[in-house]
Formats: sequence, C-alpha cells, structure tokens
Amino acid sequence: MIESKFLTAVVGYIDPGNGSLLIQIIITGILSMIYVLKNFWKKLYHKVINKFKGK
Amino acid sequence: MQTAHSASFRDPSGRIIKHDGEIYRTVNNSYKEQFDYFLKSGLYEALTKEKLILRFEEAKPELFDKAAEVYKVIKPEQLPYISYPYEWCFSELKDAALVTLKIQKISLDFGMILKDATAYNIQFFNGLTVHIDTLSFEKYNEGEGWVAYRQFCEHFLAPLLLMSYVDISLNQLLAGNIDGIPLALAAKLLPFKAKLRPSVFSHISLQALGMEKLATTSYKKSSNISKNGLYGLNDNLTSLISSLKPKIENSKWSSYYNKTSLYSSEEQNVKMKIIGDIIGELKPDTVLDLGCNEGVYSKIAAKHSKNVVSVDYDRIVIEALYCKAKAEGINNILPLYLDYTNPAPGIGFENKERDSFLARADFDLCIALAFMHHMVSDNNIPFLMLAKSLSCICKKLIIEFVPLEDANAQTLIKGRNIDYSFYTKENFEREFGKVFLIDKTVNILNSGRVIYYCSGKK
Repeated sequence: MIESKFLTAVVGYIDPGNGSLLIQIIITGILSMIYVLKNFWKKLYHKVINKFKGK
Repeated sequence: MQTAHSASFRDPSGRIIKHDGEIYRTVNNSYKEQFDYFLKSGLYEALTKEKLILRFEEAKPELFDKAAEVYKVIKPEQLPYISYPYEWCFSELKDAALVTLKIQKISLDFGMILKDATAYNIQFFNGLTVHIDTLSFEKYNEGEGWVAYRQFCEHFLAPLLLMSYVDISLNQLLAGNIDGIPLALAAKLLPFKAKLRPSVFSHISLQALGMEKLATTSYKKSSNISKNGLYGLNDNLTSLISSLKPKIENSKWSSYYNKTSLYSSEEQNVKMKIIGDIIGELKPDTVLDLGCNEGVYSKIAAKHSKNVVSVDYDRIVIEALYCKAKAEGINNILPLYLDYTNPAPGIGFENKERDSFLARADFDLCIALAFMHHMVSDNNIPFLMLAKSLSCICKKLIIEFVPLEDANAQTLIKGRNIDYSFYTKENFEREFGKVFLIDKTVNILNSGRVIYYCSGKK
C-alpha cells in the first residue's frame, strides 16, 4: 500500500487522521519546494537591493 | 477548595484546576521532559516577549496537595472573561488563526511544534489575541508531520472559508461541532469558485477525501515530512487566511445611529452624559453592554472600567466594533455575538466542556439601552422573566424603558395581534422592582424614554 509506506507513526492525544497525514505529506512536498524557492528569491532580491543601495 | 475544571480532561499532559476562584494548571510527570524543554529552549520567553502566550508563575507548593502524577503546578495570568469561537466575529476568528500559525512558526524555529491547534486555546485579553495553553508544545522530531493540521483546518480554516464564501454566521456550526467543522461538510458547503483555489482544494477537499478513503490505513515508522515542508504549510495557510474577507451584506443595525432618528442630538448627548456619570461614579471592573450596536456606550464604559464585553445579535456590527476598537487602540472592549433570547449553550461532554453564556456571565454592571423593548414587545418575554434573567448576570443594571408610542417600538409591534396594555412604565417599575432596587430614574428630555439605574436585591 502506498499510504502505509509513507505514513509516519505519530504519538499524540488527538487523532491526526490517517488520510489527513497522507494528504499532508503530498501538500508539504509541494509547499516545501515553493517555500525554498520563495526564500531564495527573497534573499536574492535583498542582496540586489542592498548592492544598489551601496550597503 | 480545589476543583478540576470540567473542560480539562482531553490532554493527559496536565489539568486545569480552580482554587479560591483562581485558575491553576497542573503539569503532569508524563509531560515533564517537554515542559522543561519548552522553558530551556527559549520558546516560552520568545512567545511571552511577543505577547503571544500567557505568562505564568510557579504556584506556591503549600497551596496544593500534589498528586503523584503531578510534576508542577503553575498559575497563568488570569483572564477576565472566556469567550468561544462561535461567539466571535470573522476578524476575531481570523486573528486567532493567524496567531496560532505565528506560534507554530516560532515553535519550529525553537525545535518544537504545536501538538494541538484548537480555537479554544485562543482568547482575547487586554487587546491581544493570546494562546492560553502552556502545555500545547512538544519537541519536533525531524520527518514527522503536524499532528494538529487537521484540527487547525477544522477549527479555523473551514469556518473562516464558510464565513467568507457562504455566510458570515457559519461559525455557529462550531457550537454543534466541538471538534471543529468536519472537512467533508465544509467541502460540501463551499461554492465551486472557492474550491478552484489550489490551497482551498488541498486543505479542504483533498484532505476530506483522504480522510474518507484512507481512514483505516495502518501507520509505519518512516521519515517523510521535511521541516521546510512544515514552514511551507504554515506559510501557505497564513497567506490563504490573510487573504480572506468576511461576506458582508447590509445589516439592519449597521449605521443605526446615523440612519434611525431615535434621538435628537441633544437627547443623545443627555443620554451619554447620564451613562457616563453613573459608570464614572461606580467604576466597575466588568461591564456587559447588551445590544451594543456600534459600541457608543461600550466606549464610554471602557473609559471607566477594566473590561467591557459588548454583545449584539447582529454579526456585522460586532465585526465593525471589533475592527474599530482595534484600529482606535481600545484594548478593553471584547465584542461578541449574542442573541439574548437564545444565548450560547453549554456544549461538550455533560454540556460542561464549554460553559453556557449564563454560566460565564457575572458582571459588575450591565447596560441594556434600547434593549428591553426588543425582548418584551418583540419576543413577548414578560417584564419579570427579563428582570430575573438580568439579575442572574449582573450586580448593577442600567436599563432604558422605551414607551410603546416610540417610533422604534411601533416598528416592532406593527401588524401583531397582541394586547400590549401590560406594557406600561408602571408595570415595568413594579415587575423590575420585585428583583431590583431602583436607585435612580432619569427622563431623557421629552422623548418619553427613561433610564433606570438599579441594584440586584440578592
């Protein structure tokens, strides 16, 4: 089963929901790439701006 | 006298206890490691510095007979009033959601994560939106997902989307669903255009589908979710929620003071002075403004008291008052939705997990201006029943009698086949006099309206 291969055992007092966890794996897979790219552009943007400002 | 709080049984990390009217929290041995790490890691200091979580102090050990499972007893800052998400306006729920996400982000920075994300962990205190549960944090283990992701979506995202896309009143669904709005229900109710947004589709529709189809899957140990993935999830939820606006259509009561010529400006000024004088002299700690509308009198009360809870059964005026008070930096007014003829009930296990409005109401002063005729002539609540009910929620009362001849009262009774001969000032005074001592009466010039200042007899 794909899902049992990917899901992590989670210990908590609330039920995270098995299906919810699998969806979280898919969503965070995509969002982590977006997050990394976004941060990269942010850093690059500030570097360029600071260079032009002569800092 | 120590009593365990009836809402405090779900999380085995600790319990809330009441001692001499004050709230304490026990930290159990099972949570010792996490609690110590919460303090040592600097997360507690960082969150309190940003005023995102209540400060606490360790309670004097001699106060409590510590049970074997208890590691520590702490005393958090005391809240003057507890409110619930089904009483909040859109912007209150939105602020609560954004604060939760901000706390989650800071927690990740410090190597911890929120183990629960319920809306009941957030309260409004001194103009701040704060997290009240010190035991909501656990160490973050690389690869693990956010256990409280589904809970966050059910408690915050689903009601906010419904209030934004369908109807501003839909946080009421939380009163019937103590664990939050089921995502499958939210997916059914949301319009197609909302689900066209990739983030709405993923967090609501896809998650609901996953929960339905994969409910019986068994777990297996592995590392799958990166920390950047959790930051990305947090970032995405923050952007989505920040972009939402309440679905507002014109309400009957918004701009009430501008559109409805109830009073001449002279009469209005007299009324404001009367109320200001009474509250200024009384200086109450807590005030309830019933039928607050745009909060004209709440603001007067706020100048002379510590905390004002302003309630109205029009969600739009509550939304407007919350935003306005926030913009004006008034930090002691808490606007909440309340229909006095159907106040928030007790919900959860034994109806005790979340107290009813009446169980929480214990105000030094209640202001009920242009309110009584809505109860008596509009809802047929007898004077005595209303007086008894009000005497249970406050020690002092300022109430306005609106005569039946008043244009506003006439609008309410128009077309009704009811004998209103009982509705007289004399009957009002006699019936209210059975429960309250009338300390002062002031006529508002020639309007026929009268302000009564009363004290509860018990």
